[in-house]
Amino acid sequence: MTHSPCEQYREDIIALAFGELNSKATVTIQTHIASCPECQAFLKALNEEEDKIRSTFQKIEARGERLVHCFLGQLGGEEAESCRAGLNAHGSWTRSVKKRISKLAVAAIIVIAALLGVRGVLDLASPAFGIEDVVNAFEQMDWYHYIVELENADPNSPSSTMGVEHTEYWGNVPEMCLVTKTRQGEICYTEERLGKTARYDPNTQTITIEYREPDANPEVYASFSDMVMKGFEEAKKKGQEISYAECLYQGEAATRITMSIDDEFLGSMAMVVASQTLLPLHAVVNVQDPNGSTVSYSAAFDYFATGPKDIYEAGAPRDATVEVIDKRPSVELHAIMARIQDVHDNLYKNYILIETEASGKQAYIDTVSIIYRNNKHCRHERHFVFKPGDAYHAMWPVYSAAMGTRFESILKWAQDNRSGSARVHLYDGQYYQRFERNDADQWSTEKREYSPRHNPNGGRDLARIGWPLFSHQAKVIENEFSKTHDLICIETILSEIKKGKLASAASRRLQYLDPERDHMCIRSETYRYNIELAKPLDESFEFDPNRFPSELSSVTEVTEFNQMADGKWTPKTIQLYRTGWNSEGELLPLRIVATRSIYLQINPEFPVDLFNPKKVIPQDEQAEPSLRQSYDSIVEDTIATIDRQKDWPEPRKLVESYWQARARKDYDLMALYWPGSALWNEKRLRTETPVEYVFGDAVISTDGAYVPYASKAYYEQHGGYKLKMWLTDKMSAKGRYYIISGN
Amino acid sequence: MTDILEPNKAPSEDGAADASAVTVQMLAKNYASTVLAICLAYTRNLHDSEDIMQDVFLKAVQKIDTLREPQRAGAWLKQITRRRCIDYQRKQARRESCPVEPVDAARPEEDGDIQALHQALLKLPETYREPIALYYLHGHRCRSVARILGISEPAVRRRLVRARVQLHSLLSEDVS
Repeated sequence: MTHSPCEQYREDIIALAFGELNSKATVTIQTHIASCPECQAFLKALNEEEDKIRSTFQKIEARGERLVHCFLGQLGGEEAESCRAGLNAHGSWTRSVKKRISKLAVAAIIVIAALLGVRGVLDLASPAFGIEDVVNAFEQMDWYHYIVELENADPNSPSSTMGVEHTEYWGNVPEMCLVTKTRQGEICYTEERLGKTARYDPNTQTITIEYREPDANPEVYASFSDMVMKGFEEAKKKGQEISYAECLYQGEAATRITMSIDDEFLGSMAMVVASQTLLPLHAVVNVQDPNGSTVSYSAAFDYFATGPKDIYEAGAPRDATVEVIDKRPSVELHAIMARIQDVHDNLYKNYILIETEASGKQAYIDTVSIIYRNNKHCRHERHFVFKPGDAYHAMWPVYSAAMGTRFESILKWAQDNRSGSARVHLYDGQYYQRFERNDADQWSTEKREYSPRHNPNGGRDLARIGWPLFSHQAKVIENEFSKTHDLICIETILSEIKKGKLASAASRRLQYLDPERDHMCIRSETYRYNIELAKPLDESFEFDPNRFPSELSSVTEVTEFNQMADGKWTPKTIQLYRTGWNSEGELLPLRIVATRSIYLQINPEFPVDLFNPKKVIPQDEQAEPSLRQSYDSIVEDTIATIDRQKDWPEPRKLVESYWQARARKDYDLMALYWPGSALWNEKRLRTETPVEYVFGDAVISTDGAYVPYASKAYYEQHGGYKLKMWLTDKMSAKGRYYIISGN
Repeated sequence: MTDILEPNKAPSEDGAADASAVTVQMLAKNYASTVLAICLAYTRNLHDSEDIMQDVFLKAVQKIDTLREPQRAGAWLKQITRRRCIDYQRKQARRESCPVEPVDAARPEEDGDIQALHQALLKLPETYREPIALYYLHGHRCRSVARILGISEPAVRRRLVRARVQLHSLLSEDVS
């Protein structure tokens, strides 16, 4: 191909036509054009072409303007007939918003049909296989591979590109290996059986290899295939309808499995499975994002005999720097963990456990927890003894007389109690449901959730009361206390957590285990740095690792024990001590904040229907609708009132105004600035002595906002703020901030 | 600070734009050509561009309450437009792989000049399409194109010139 000698001038001539050439180059090119007929012809043609392009773009622009004009007319309710006549030819601006919404509603189905590209669909009334067969076929494969494409991804996500996110997966089910690769070059190679994860960061060109204690029973290793297949499995157990249909997928006989899910998060799922091998070929999951739009995850599967053997074969460069982090427990700690696990495995599985909690130095029991455990069935009740507004000293004699101090009397009190509110958690090994009774004796319940991996009692069962909790990075140490009392001391350092410009201090926990009492944790001490938690920290702030946390801030101690007939130990009384601050901001010494008493009955007879979710709410109360306005509706009404206000203060001014209103006992205004606060104990507020506060600047982040503040006395002494008022604008249509919690 | 919603309007006293003052009407009037230019850079015909344009402004109607920073209204609208365009491209790709998908048969014929220009535009590399469409639809000013795309003016000039060189070849081929 030959080029004209004037080709080199073309760019400059065009730049000249655009008026984008500098003066020196303009002179040069104009001199050349004057002496070159070819370039003169080119410039002439270019100018003619330019006129045509401009006039064509003008036509386009005119159409665009007309569209906008009609659109604005529709928005203002002045839909012009002329617009309809001109634009209805291809339906512009005539679709109503309602139609758009219905379009969104069916979007999930369209996406599935279009993405899977299936045709010739024939519904199957009785399929020849089930989801479990597909899972089984999938798990037999050596290596699978797919790329997940996420539509409408968060543009702020690191692996997002123009709203479409790609992550490549390689996986080996029998070996429990999973490899993920993002478009940005990040690679993660996980070997679950070895507890090993290697991560390659292309920005630092570093491979970080992390070893941890392998999970004895790994359930899932997060991948899209798990999400799809476990999703189908769980939905099936939930009773969702799954439909099967014969179809062709890329010319091959296949079965399409679809399911619409009644879930706030998952919208629908679809999977195409090869008819012959039952292997998944393509899967789509539609997820509702918080804004109500649908996010689609889509993946087409391939299968291979071999896959990447290590992170280098997965694409990480061999000259990358390698760092190793070993998070496995030491041999000594491992042995202690095994002994504790053995104790837990042999703990009772049929019992009723009552735990009462008395706050502070007062002997008033304010909460009673009852755990009914019958193997997998659990019922956890938490009863609040006092009602809001109760004078403790006046009411405690009444309640304590009814409650007594024995297992049977407390249990009977809890079963008959109608004084304070109560929460009931019910779990049968698969399904979890929460119930609540308010102070006015009205019941409410949440939806029953299928949750096979749920912790039945929120961590409050026999195995969790009195035994230690520590991470694999903990260390076994010796100190004076452990040597004196013949105890095992386990030290855990919790590193600081930075969140925005705030930081939580690092803390150090010492747990003392008694080998003579089934390795029960008889004393736990927490040490913290004494730093201003409420003080916004500079971005460059770093904790000094040499500055070891040394200030004892809390102690939990088992002060009395029970030894059962079979020799097993359980705690009988636990005391909790904490430090605190007085109104002048001075640190107080450790003081007792709560005493817990534990009562245990092994192999009891459980009341009939105790674990039946339909019998938790008494039948007569189920029939009566609540007439009392709920907390949620009060908050909703208040926020609507906020949005109706002509003006609304900014966060700092809002908090200041709240405290001013509180000082002058203006409860209505307080309830407006802090929606829902009208439900507070008005009696206490009436007798409250106003405190003079000083306020810092509001700190606003994506999570909300807070205004630091402190009493004037504290501020003058320490020069900082100790307290925070948290605000949000989430529910306000106008983005107006309101208070949601105090310090 | 110049109010980007109304470039010719004097800035307010405190220099800040009032979020509640931003309406879809203002966005439509000020950003119609920007939205259309981006749509043209992604779609196969003007009708589809117009369809996406209406989707964008309908989305803006639904989501205008979520716009907190009026200074970023343009970027916000541009992002909605690009997402819609990418959705469109993906749907087009699926249509090609799924022959049974219904085709839009009721489309009227497009203006020949527009069609030719659009086809030539689509043959340009992606990085050139937006600048050139914005240039012609946005008052022929490199500065405003640079601000919309978030790139430097010299970069816009370079892309425009190279795009125009290629566009000339493509349009000449079309004529021949």
